[in-house]
Amino acid sequence: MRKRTQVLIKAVLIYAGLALALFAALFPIAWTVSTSFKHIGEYYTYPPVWVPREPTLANYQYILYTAGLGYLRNSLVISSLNTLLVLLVSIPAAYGIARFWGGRGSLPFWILSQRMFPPIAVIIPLFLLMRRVGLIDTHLGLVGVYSTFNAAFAVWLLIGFFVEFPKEIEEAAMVDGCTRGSALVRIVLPLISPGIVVTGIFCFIFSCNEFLFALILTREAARTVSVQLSAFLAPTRILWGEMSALIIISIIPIFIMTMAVQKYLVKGLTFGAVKG
Amino acid sequence: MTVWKIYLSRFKYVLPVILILLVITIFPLVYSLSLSFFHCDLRTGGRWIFAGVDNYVQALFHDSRVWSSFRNTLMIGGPSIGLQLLIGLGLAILLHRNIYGKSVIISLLVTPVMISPIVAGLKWRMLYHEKYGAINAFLRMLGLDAQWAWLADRNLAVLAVIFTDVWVWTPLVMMVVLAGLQSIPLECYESAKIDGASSFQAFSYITLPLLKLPILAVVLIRMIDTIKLFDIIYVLTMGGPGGRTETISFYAYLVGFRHFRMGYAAAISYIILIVTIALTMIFIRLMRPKEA
Amino acid sequence: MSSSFGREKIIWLVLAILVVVLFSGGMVNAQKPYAGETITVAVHAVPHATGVYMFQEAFERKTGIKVEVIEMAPEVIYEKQMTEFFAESGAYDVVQFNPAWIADYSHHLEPLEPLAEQYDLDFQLDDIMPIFLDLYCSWEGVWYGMPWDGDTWMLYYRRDLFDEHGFSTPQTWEEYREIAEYFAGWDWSGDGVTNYGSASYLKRGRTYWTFLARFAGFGGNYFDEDMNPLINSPVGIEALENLLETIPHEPPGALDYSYMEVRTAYVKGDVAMVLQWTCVGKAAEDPVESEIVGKTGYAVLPQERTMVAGGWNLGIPRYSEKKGAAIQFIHFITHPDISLDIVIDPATSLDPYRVTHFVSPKFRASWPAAGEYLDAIEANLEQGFPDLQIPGAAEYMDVLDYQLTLAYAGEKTAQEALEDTAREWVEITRRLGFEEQKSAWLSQLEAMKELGLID
Repeated sequence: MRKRTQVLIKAVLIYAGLALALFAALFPIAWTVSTSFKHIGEYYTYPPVWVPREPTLANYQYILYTAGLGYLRNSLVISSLNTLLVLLVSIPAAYGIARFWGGRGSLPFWILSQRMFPPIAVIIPLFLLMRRVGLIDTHLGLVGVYSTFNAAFAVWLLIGFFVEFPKEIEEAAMVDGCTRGSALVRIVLPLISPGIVVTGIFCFIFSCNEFLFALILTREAARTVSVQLSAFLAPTRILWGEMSALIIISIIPIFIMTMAVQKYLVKGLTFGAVKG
Repeated sequence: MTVWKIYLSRFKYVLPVILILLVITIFPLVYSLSLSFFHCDLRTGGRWIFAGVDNYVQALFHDSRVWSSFRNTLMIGGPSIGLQLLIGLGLAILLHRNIYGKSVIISLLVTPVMISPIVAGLKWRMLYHEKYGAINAFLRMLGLDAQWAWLADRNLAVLAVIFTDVWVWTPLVMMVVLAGLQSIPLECYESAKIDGASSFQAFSYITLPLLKLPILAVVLIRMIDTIKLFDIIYVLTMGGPGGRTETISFYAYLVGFRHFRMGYAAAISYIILIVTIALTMIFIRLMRPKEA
Repeated sequence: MSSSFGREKIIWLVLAILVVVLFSGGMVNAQKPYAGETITVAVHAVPHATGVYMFQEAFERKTGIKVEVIEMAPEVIYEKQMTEFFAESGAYDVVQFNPAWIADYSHHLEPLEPLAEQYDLDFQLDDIMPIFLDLYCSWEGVWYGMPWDGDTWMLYYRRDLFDEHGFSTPQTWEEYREIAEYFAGWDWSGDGVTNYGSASYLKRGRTYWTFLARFAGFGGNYFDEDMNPLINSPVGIEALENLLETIPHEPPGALDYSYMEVRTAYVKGDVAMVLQWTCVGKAAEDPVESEIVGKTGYAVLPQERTMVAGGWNLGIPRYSEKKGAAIQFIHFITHPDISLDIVIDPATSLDPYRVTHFVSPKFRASWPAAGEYLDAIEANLEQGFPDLQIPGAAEYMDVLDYQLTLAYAGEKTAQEALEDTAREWVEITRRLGFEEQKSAWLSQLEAMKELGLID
């Protein structure tokens, strides 16, 4: 009996905590959704209006037909290619560093340092370099530039997962005749899929959200959503409605992606669920 | 011969990433390192005039804004990363169980980080407005007489920046910790249960040590990114009021891209790089004493 | 056999079509020398870009030139364009730029006069307000830009309130402060919420204009003839102290108010007066946004000086490979008739800069008080005080801006903040080359004297 109340209280606390977190996370999002349906007159009201009196689709129409979808496509292409590239080179690198160097040494630190440099000083030489090889305003240019800071993130995160992975399982597979490479692909990767999924999601998000490089290294053809969003910040009039509509539209693909890969993230649970 | 062979067979794993990074970054890094020893002003034609270590001396000994912006970065970044870690860890633990609607809840909790920080900052600027903002409106609904000018008060503005940063980046910490939790083999817990450990003991002696590396990685990444904190400041406060939220990267941005003093901006950037490397090394030593 | 004959026929047919196309192309080209060219126009994003979109098609019909608009975030247009200039990229054929950057940009822009002569284009320069033409479009006597947006600050006040409480427009900044004090901290609108006296741009970034408006009124100037900063002169300190004494009568969040918040505070009826750009006047009469339609009075800034803050020009980068088509575009879009339609339309947020704009019956009939509004802009322009334009102007202003926010926040006194500004200005001048800076400043001073802005 006492135990049951304890369990009940615990469950209530857990859900209350999650509800609070959801509220905090979604408060500004809800405001964005609401703003995306507003007319200019309702951006600032006292008290703030959550449900627009005359909801309008004009903001979405503007984004869909005039300015937005092309930029969204650029963002998605650049981010997907970048994520693929980064995972492709970072998984073996992190594995190698974890297995052969115990996850330490100057190599991983050098890779990490790629993320440390302030963009302000490298951006002009990068611009000159990219221009020399004709990569200004191209998807490929940004895919390359983003791989520097994303590889640092991916390698470091994955090293942790590889180091914690029990060597014995892998060695058993190699005794059974797998090469190191196939043991990695067939045995290790599926078991650390949560780590890979999270790495991939955030590489994607980092690329989508990057602003300064995208601003300087693109003009029009490869312009990304985050650069276009900043264009709505006019000194004479902030286009809150249009901006909000583009935010919502640009969140949707990432949201769907996050939902879609959840099963790999939760997959770990089948091996090791902790009972509440 | 065989030693070399083994070495090569290991090296091939890391070679691609090294090549990619070298190709992209070697030229900009060498360029900006050399630039930091020159005076180069784009406004007056961008000629390189040799300056020796003038730029470094200027930044370290004659420019009080370098120091104050480092201090501001610490005042914002320290509490912000601490909160992100606490909240992220807490949420990950809450989520690491069978919960109704779990995948939807996780996706919803991650939405803040899906918004580009440059517009997340703008959204918050609207929310923080003392009269028309939704935050004060919500507090008034709770019965408080909230007319707080979040971004106009020296101390509240620092808090406001911290809140925004925490809002944006906590999902990253949460997801990394969650992935780490999911990867811990169940056997570890079962043996602990047999030994009669309480769930708190199981957490501190089994879970936390196994989470150490993912947490180390995510805190390092957040630390590095916080030293580069620029976009939220740019749209939220522009470094004001009274310069309290002017972070070092925002200052470097002003010097490089508003004043176009490229040599000086490069020198400040290298100082930032050295400080970041030092902090990172100290942090890694603290977390992994074995290495020392 | 028959198939090869067919092939031959097709070849002849293609050739014939080619000849016709080329010939007709030649005909078109004779009248429209740039037909088929595409120029890249880098302007502020919507709303400003709307001005181009409105006449993009008409321009193509007339000249055959296609216009590709690159919308740029106003906050970053300077950095973006300077980077492209530095790389001499030729990515843009027409750029929108701020007059305060004209010295920095003069290295990279094509002088317009030879182009106008070469293509025999009349820009009707006599029709442009003198302060824009002589100060904002030229640098050291060379003409680099055509106005695109004629901005100035002006004083907006609530005519209904001023009448009700027996005030007339402030003639001095001290009167301005007194009126602000009278209206601050009580609910004069009767909606249950406290109202305030005035609102101004106090946020870091562009608050230097709020100070300079007062500074100019008190008789200040940027430098003396030997390039010594005058910003810390007694009038400077007096002006800043006046501003510091006005801030308590502004809304509680005033230190974070930028253009958007000031505009909102005014059109929602929170404050009794504001100093703002010309576009606020149009917003205040727009019932969608405004709660005070028809209640606004327009006036000149106190003490006979107005900050002509900003404004925007169009120019042609040296690195453009299509200067001929570019000059055609600038000529077209700034033509008196076309630019009139652009500045009348509130959707563009672009403001009048030609004499004919101010006298246009169409503009004066846009709303009941439009005539008064235009007269007030003109009066403000006549007592206008220009931005600093010498090389590095943006940095001089940024330093001032930073120090001002320290004074607002109470971290420094007015005197300390301005002394520190002056010290840094001397340092910037030294760094950019004292003699060069001095001669640049003397050239601006000369232009200001010719316009009668200073004695």
